[in-house]
This record gives sequence, structure tokens and C-alpha cells, in this order.
Amino acid sequence: MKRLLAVALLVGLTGPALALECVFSRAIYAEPTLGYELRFYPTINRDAANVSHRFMVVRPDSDRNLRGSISGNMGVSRDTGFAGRGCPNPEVTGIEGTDADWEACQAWKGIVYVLADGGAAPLPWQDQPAPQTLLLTDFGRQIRYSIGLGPADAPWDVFTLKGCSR
Amino acid sequence: MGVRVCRAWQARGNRAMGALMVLALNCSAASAQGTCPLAGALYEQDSSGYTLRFGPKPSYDGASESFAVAAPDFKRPLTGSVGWSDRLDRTLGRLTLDCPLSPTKAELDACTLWTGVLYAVYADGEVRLLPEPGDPAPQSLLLPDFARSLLANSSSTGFSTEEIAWDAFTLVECAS
Repeated sequence: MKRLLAVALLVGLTGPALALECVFSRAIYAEPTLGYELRFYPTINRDAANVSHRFMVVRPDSDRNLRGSISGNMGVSRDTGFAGRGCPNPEVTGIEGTDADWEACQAWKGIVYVLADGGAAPLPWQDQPAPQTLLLTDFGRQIRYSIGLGPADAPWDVFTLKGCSR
Repeated sequence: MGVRVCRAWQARGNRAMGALMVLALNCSAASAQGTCPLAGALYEQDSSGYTLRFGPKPSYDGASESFAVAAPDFKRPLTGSVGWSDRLDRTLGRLTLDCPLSPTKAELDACTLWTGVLYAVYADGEVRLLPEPGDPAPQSLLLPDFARSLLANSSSTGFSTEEIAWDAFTLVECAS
């Protein structure tokens, strides 16, 4: 009974969006204007040591997702995000790819912040609870140019927690 | 730089013509609550003692707004300017030290400490592009990658600091 009460309290406090405790590596975020989604998934052992998070960018009206990752978080470096398509896949193929390969496949590169309490903070680790709101700096503008979208099809740079995958 | 429109709306997306209604609503709401205009507003970082103050007018032709950043252990302020991106979809900030008058692109790059999209973060959590000088000052400003970029470019620009900064500034004071 006590446990039920605790659950009820938790649900009441956090609201429907956060009724389920969601670990960051399973979180799904949505961009409010066009419905772009970020779907996080756990990193794997073969990932480079500085890769802290992985995600897919799911685009509305497109079958082709973008693969994304976040790296850094050492010293004063920032959580640097990257999303691209057709990039080398070294953890599967074993082939690292050249700098030119990575430049050619880049759709977005920027800093990722958690927005909280009217300010900005660094990201939690992927095994911690998912933050409510993420800012992917300059995301919409870079995506617009790299994919070749019209102004009306460019997303904004803020994503809010929408759900949790299993 | 193009004609300035209400940025509050720009940040919210621009897909449908129906959104023009939203534009009108947002702009009027912004001007109604404007007790503290961005021009002259002072921001600071609790953790580092860095301050950022918006100026009353642009520092040079082509910029739409100006600001100054001061580090606690460096005497001269850094010069900030804000302008629109080429296709008017983002507000871009630039922070420089000792640039020559009318610099070439290479000279400008060489005297730049930080450049990036300048975001306004409001008390309700809303994030938009930087508002105009007469609009209400947002609760905080986010300069993506500011602190790291400052360190990376300090030796080439002559800037010197031992203070480790963060990338966001919080509003502390309105123009008197």
C-alpha cells in the first residue's frame, strides 16, 4: 500500500510526460514545430571511448534517419553532438574512414545542453534519468542546408522529452 | 542583415501562414511585459565573475546589436556584436579583441574569440533567438561553446585569463 502511494505521488508530482522514469539512453525527444525526433539508444563496447551517447534523428516525411552521437565531457570540453548520413561505421565494419569521409557525411555538428531552471547545463550520463529538454545548438539551420530544405521545413533547435523506448 | 522581424515568432517555427496569428500574439505579449529592456541589461556568471552587458547601439555597421564581455582578471572588455545569419534564420554572435578598423575576413577571424548562435533562455524555459534591444531582457543568455572557445583562442588574440567560464549568463541588472 505504501508503495502504491509512493507511485501515485511520483506520478502526481512529475506529470504525465514523466510518469515513467526514463533512462537517458532510452529517451525519445521531439522537436515541437515539425516533429523531428531524437531516439537515444545505448552506446556499445566497440564505440570510441569518448562517445557518451548515441541517437537517431528521425525526420518527418523521410525514410532516412540520421545517425547521431555525442562525445566529449573531459576537462573544459563540451558535449559535442554530431549527426550525419552515410558516415563510416567503424564499430561494425572496422573501417574508420578519413576526415574527408566524415566531413562529407556531416549533417549537423554542435554543442548539446540540458535546459533547466531558465539556464543551460551539461548532459547527464546515458545511464541517468533523461532530462526534460535538450538544446542542439544551430541544429535547424545546419540541417536545412545540409539536407537542402526550404525555410518552412527547417526544424528548431529545442527538443522535449516525449517518451521512452523499451 | 535584413529587416528585423519579431524574433520571438521566428524561433517558434515558420511553417504555416496561420502562424502569423502567433506572431502577432507573441510580439504584443513581449512588449507588454517589458520592464527591463535588453539594451543596457547586465548579465553575469556566478561561478566565474564574467559579466556581459548589452550596449545601447551596434558597434559597427551591419551589426544589429552590441555587447561587451568582461573577465574578472583581464582589464579590457571583449567586444561583442550580433547579426543575422545569411538567410535570416539565426542570430549570430561574435566576440572579439583588438580588431583593426574595417577588418578583412582573415583579420576578423584572427581577432575573434568566440562566434556562434546566440540564444535567449526565458524564465518559463522557452528558448528563442536574441530579441531586439527594446524587448524584455531574457533571464539568461547562452553562448554555445563560449568558455572552451575563449581558452582555445586566447593566445592568438592576446586575451589572457585564469578564470574558467561557463557558457550561460544570468540577468542581474537592468539599465538605470
